[in-house]
Amino acid sequence: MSDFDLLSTEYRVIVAASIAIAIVAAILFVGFAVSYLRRVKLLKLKKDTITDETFALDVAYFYEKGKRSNQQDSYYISPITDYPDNGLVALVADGMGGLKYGDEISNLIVSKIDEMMPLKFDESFNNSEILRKLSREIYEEYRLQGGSTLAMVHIKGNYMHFYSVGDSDVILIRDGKSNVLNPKQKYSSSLVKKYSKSGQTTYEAYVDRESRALTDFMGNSYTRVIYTQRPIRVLDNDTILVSSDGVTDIVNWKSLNMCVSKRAKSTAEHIKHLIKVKKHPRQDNYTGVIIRLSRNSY
Amino acid sequence: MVEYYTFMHKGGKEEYKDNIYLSYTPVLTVLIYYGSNSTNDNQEKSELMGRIISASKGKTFEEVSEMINKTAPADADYALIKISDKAVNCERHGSVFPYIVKNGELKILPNGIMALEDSDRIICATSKFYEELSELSILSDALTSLSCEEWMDNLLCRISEHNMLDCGNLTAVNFIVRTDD
Repeated sequence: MSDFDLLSTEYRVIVAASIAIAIVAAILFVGFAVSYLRRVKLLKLKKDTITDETFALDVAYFYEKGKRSNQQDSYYISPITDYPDNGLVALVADGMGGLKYGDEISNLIVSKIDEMMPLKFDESFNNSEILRKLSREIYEEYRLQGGSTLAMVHIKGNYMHFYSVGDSDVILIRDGKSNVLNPKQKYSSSLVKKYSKSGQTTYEAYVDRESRALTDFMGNSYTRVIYTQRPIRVLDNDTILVSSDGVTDIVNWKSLNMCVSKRAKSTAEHIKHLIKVKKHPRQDNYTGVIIRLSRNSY
Repeated sequence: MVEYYTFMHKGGKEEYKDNIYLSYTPVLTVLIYYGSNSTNDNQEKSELMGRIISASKGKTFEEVSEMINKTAPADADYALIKISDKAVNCERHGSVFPYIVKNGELKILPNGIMALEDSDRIICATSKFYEELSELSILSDALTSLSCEEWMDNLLCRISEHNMLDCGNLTAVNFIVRTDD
């Protein structure tokens, strides 16, 4: 005979009911705990996804001769399938028109960069050394009979590196405002530095006939490659334009923000249209790669 | 070690009324005074503040700050910065703004103490200096320059494109932290 049998009927009912309630409460508690933990895990996953975001990229380009007899610009866009692992590389090279082998050299730069892919995003110094050595190889081959500019971006995750030689453009358009990121290696920059250090205004720097001449280029013997030692953070809805100076010589870079739309292709068409309507009689080659970053995929 | 570079330019005006006072004893103490933003002639008070900075050896940041506060003109715009390779202490008044480059972004340096790491970059300048610069242009020049001087030169090229440095007194100081040196 168990202890339960010793109890009166009333107490047996109470005990049985208590046990039943306890079991139901335990089941409910376990159910609640599981549901709560699942919700927390889901929230954490969502948060991690937002923090560790990879932007959706929308990429377009334009590549036009303008009024010149031949095309001396070249461009490169790395395969979009490589983007999740290695990021995206886009570059424009503008062959120097006054010299003989501008088109050959700009094409050579593109093919050499293609061979070097994938570039390691976190090794911007090493990447700049690769470009510097490439410039030296071009010098050895062509002995200053040709040269090219270079403007290149490397985007991965939330960040971007850029590399620049010469006077092509890396422009970041954010919150409706255009920003030229790369300093230009032109003689006018050297003159500005000279006048500013002596306390003068810099009007004379722009009057000088040689002010637009490049002080460095790919194919120079000891090229200084300008590069970001640490990457720049990129944000949702940023638009990046890598272009030859055939664009910004005609369209003021400050007004390029007006060309930006949600689709990179539309932005490219708008910039092309702006250049065409100017109808400059000696329009230079103009080339640009547009990259639009968005959290929403296309 | 902290590398620094100062830029002081009349900007096409007859007089230079701003100033940068420095003391390295052994931690770098810098006062950036935006005198050209005042309608009053505060040259005497400016020189007094300079003497306070010169004699700041052995004094805490708070002591120097209090002395500057008492001496500065009522409408003074200035920033006081004490910087080593470990930390920066900053106090700003009015239209003199310090920025720091951190994690690929440019952020305004808050008043108070902040820890620093190798290769951190800071710029402090008057609002006139920043007038033709965007945050992204300051940031990208900071990240591509190998020295403080180069960073400043690249910023001047940007300002010059707009106004040929003929815009009024221009005053700025920048810093790069070099803990491995």
